[in-house]
Amino acid sequence: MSGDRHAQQIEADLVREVAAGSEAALAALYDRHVDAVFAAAIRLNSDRQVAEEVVQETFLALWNRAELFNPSAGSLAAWLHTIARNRTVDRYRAAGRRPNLVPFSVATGAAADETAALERALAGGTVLGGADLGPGPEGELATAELRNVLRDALAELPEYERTALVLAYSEELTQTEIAARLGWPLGTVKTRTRRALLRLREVLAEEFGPMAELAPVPVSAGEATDR
Amino acid sequence: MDHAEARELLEIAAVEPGGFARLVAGDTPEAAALAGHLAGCPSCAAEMERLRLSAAVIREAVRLAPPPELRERTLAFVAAVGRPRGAAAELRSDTIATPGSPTTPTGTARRRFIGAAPGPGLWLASLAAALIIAVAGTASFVGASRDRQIADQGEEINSLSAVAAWTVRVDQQADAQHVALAAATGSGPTGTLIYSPTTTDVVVVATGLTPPPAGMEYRCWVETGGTRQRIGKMFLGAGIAYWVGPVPSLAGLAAGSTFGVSLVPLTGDPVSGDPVLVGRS
Repeated sequence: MSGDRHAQQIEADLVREVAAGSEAALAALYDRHVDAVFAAAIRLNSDRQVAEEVVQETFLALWNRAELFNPSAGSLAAWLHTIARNRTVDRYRAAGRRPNLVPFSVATGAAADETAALERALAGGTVLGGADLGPGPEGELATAELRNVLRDALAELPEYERTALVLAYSEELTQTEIAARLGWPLGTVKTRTRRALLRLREVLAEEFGPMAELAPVPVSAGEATDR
Repeated sequence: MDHAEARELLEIAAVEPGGFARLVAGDTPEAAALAGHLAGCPSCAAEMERLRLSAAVIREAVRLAPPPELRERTLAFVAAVGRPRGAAAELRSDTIATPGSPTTPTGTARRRFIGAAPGPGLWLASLAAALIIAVAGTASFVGASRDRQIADQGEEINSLSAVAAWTVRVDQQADAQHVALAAATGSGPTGTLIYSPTTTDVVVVATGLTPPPAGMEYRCWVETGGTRQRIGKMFLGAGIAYWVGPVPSLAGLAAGSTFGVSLVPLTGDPVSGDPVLVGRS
């Protein structure tokens, strides 16, 4: 608990520094919270470019309204999550559309009071799932720690491998579509996406060990080479 | 089919949308060959399940990861259009009369120019006129909402001043490129885009654009080699539309590229739609 209070004090100090005009403090808060803000935005609208703009608008709101943040009323993470959610929902309202159906825990983010958070979410027009969807085996592994490890590994990939993999997984493009988008031969796309996937898989296996059952299964001795 | 071929198919399926489902469906010669191999190869069958699991985990992490370049774009965006703070806020109160503006404590001064130096082009004069209109408008607010309206007007002034500052800075780059934007059809809106291929900073300013209807917004883009890339959403204030910021994809941009502004749905494809403004570098 004392660790949490210390972290909250650091963040409150950074927000005060933002209010005083510190761009370095804003950058520090960006580094701390961008993952959660981006994740909140993309879970609600699935549009990556819109999510990026929501991130920009959220940190602009933090800069412009830093004096309005009250640490005793809630965490900065919850405040930023609310701003990001509202920015996303506003876009859908203006377009006459509805955001994605999301589980309650996603819509309310880090809010401590779930009842109040539910009321705010409903008032804001967010569509909520009424039941726990159940994470499944991949969801159980999708912890913050896991995402941090993969995020760092993704940033360290060669740029062309990262680009290909992001197009495949974020925009759900086929290999042929990626080749057309980037002007690469199809064989090059296949090679680069496979390499990117295998590199990240190695990182997962190293980080979480054999019990995570993510490492490649070796071919057993004695198995025929051609079936 | 040998192990290497089977595993290559599995790895390709892992990065294709619905790839595993198509393989399992077995309605292609490759899928049928793979199914036959997996039936007799426990290690490759186990590998398929592990690959399916790890690909799902990685897919979710990739989908939720913000791009590394978003950091610089976001910080530059805030620097460009955010309210002045610290020493810059105090400097503003000395040079532009904005009654009711809150006093902010001193802090790190933000790089900012107050009052754009005279520059070429009618559009820069339009920007200066917009600033004058915004400042003059602060004196007309009355009633209980005066403070809020003044604060909103103050933010507008800040944004326009930031555009002026960026314009001067980018224009001073030795490799600054100027692109005249003209109405794509008929007459009406005009604009200018300035960018530097080395710093990748971009300023877009347009006049004459009508306010977008509900659910729509103006977005600027660049088209090269037949592919459009997003630059950003145009902000409107005091009669002009503008966007400033870095665009890394413009690094080393070849001459002959097309720049444009289109009116698009808020949640639609940001680079589609017929242009309302267009110009070539």
